[in-house]
Amino acid sequence: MLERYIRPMWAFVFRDWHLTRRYMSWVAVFVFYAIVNSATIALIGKAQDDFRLTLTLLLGVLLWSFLSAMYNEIANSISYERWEGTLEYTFMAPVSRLIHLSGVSLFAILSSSAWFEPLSFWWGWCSSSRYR
Amino acid sequence: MGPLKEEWALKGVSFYVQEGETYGLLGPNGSGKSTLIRILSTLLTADGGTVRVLGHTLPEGERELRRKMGRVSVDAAFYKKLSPRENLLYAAQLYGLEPRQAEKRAMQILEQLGLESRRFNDHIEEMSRGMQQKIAIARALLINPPLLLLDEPTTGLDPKSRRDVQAFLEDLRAREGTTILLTTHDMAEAERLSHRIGFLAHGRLVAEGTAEELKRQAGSPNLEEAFIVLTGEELDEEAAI
Repeated sequence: MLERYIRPMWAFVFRDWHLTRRYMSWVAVFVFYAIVNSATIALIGKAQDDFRLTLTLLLGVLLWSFLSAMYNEIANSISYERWEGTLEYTFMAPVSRLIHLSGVSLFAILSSSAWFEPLSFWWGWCSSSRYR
Repeated sequence: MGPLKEEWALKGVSFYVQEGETYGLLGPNGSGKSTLIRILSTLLTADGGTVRVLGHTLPEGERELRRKMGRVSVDAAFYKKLSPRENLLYAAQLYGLEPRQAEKRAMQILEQLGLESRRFNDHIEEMSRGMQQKIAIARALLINPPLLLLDEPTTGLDPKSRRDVQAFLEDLRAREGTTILLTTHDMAEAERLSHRIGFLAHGRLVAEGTAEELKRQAGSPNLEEAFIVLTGEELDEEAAI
């Protein structure tokens, strides 16, 4: 179980974490983009001076940015392998496509939660403070 | 429309490699060497014929076979921003190895190949091609595979790195009894490392035997001339160094 499933799945988390560390400036750029994106949408509610609308929009934008970050991470994982030319080595390893996808998705969920959600949530909390 | 150009991605290749043997495949560019390696390493599925490796028939037995073979290609593909240590630990975990043991083994292999341990944590992008190729060999050997597929492993390396790699492969074969399938353009390398050699041309294996047998068959004093006589082709100038 450990050798056939857990370690291979964890290998993708390990790899993606170290790659993310090396491309931290890009993470900062995308976090900034997520904040601006959420601000743009939340301001529609603020302009209407409607707490319920603002809250609905903020919840929507949170989910949107979370899913967008997660699926970007999954899609970029394969693009990155093609770019580096490592895809053949990954496909040659005794790893099923399900384990591959699970490992990449696990890191995508962890990283999206770690980077995008607290920031988006913090921004949303601040922007709706005047209604509380 | 002009006449259709004839193309091959292999069409008549049949050979057998014994356990513990090093088999060299020589052929000009486009002769199908890399395609053959990709088929054997389960990356491509042959649309005809039978492929049997270490007792596993492909593609049915590919999952089990993948645990038993390593591959080094001409292009040492790595995550260039990561260090050798990180790249090798990633590869080890993909194969289900315990990271600490894998790290120890990787260090041993790299030291044998002449890579200084202080470089283990540098970015791979800062390393020479020779160093990268040595790390690629370490990656392939992490699982101590009974079968090693080497696709032009020394192409583009400087003479010192080339000698290091060749000496390591000889040592590996003597120590572990690893079966090696080597494709190369380098006649001297093929002669030095291979027990038997096959000449691949036009998608066919046109001749096979020991270096001496091939030279005798062609009536040539050296392997390069034997290759030209038996295949009717010449190797690239760059490749025939």
